[in-house]
Amino acid sequence: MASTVMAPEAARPGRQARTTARFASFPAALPGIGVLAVFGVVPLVVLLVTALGLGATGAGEDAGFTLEHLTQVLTSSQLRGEVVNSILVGLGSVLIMLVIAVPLTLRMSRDGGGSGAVAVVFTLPIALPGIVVGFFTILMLGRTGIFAQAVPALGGSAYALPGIFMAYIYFSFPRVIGPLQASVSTFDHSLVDTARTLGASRLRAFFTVSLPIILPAVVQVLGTAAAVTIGGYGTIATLAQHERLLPLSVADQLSNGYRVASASGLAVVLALIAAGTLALSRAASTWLSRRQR
Amino acid sequence: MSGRTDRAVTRAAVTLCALFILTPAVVSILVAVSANSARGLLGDGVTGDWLALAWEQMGETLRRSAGVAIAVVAANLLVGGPLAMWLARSTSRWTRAVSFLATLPLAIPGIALSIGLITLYPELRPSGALLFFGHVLVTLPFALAALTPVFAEPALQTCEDVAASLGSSNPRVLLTVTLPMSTTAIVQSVITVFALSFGEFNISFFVNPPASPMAPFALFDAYATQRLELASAKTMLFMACVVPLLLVTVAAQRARQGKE
Repeated sequence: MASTVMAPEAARPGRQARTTARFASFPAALPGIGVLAVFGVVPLVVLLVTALGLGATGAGEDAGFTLEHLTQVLTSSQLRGEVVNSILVGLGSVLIMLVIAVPLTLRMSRDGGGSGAVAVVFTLPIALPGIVVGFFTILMLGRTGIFAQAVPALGGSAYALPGIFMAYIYFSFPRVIGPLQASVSTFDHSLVDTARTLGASRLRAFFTVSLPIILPAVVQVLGTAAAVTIGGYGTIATLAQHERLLPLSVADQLSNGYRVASASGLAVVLALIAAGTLALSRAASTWLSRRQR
Repeated sequence: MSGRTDRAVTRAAVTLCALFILTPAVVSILVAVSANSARGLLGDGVTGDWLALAWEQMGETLRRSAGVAIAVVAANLLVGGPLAMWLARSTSRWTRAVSFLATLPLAIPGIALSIGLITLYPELRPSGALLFFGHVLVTLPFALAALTPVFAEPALQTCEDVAASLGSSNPRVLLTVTLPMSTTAIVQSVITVFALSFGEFNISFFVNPPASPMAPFALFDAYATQRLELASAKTMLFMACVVPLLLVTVAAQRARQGKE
């Protein structure tokens, strides 16, 4: 499943001009486009309209144009903290995962060590919803978690930032390792060997040869995985006790008192952060790979 | 360092990562069969009672989730198949725009999409239709990502051209050339979509009618309100539904890599 976590447009190989585009029928494609439009694009437009105060309003919310629902992430100190935490945890956990995964996948592509069993284990977390990952963290680092039974000081750390980081690293593991493995599978290790023969140290060879080659892929993986971690609700919903991330407030605004405009405003901000991360990483990745040529 | 120590270091790192992934899963299974996990793993002995109770409480929910997931898979094949074909082969310049539309559900958090969905279509919510369409929306990009590159392969199109030039009708080409040659991708998209729908929480949390919860919501409820042993047992049942599918996908992927 890991290799399918890729945007369709990125997965599309160079198309040749063919005289017949057999089975490529626009009318047959229409229902699919319809689903994307009716249940994807239109709800997003409605979400934005609602966030601006021009659509549905809930308890205690005035109708009429306002930017308040969007700017509350800046004016409220609690929400400001949640935005910072969301970006910190979302990007940070993926970055930590990359620091592990870049050398690991390079070495695995060189030395082997990727048996079928390893492939299954490394893909496993992708089949688990965020709530299960949160529950796993409670089993390990909760008040009666097994690490807490061994080291009492760790009891309850599942609900503090370090524990939440561990949960998000677990969550992003397959989303980072899978695509990276696919992109280093064509890596030419003889380039590193050449640099080493010419006297470069291991570190120097890594930073001046390997890393620049795979950097576009790394940047793209960073954005794709971080968009999912930033937007995910399940993991933090399970671990929410002291620390808060933005998706919690999106949900709370709706479920406690149905403040739909306020919830929409926060949802728009969350979507902008997640989609913005993805778009930025795509752009940076394209720029980097152009520069290589 | 010699090549042999290099390989040993790599193997050690791989093992550590595998332990990081597997330990919590194994612990949850051990907790699920512990009579009283507060007294340590397997505390007060081993029991199947929690699993039996979990099945009693959650069997119906698992069946319901599987039913929704199967419907979502069918919709993905019926609607996503022709769309993937068009994206892969049409020379229309609109394919780029539609590809972009298809990345939206990946980029936009499910929780944001679901607020838009319930604001816009509240009347579709009680019947579960909104849940179904929400699941189709978030799984469609994955089906397209699996199918589109395969449908675009020149080798496949050449085989179709040969069959057609020998006099096969279009439906016959589709049934005897295109579909058999794309089996791996189709199986992979079926499994991916099923697993994603079965474990979907972000959309389901708001969109789902509360009277008939989906499996992930039942788990969430158990995590918040029930004993660790029972929650673990329910998690174990959930994993038993999706992990075998994962095995099949990885096996299929490796078989294809082997062929290449």
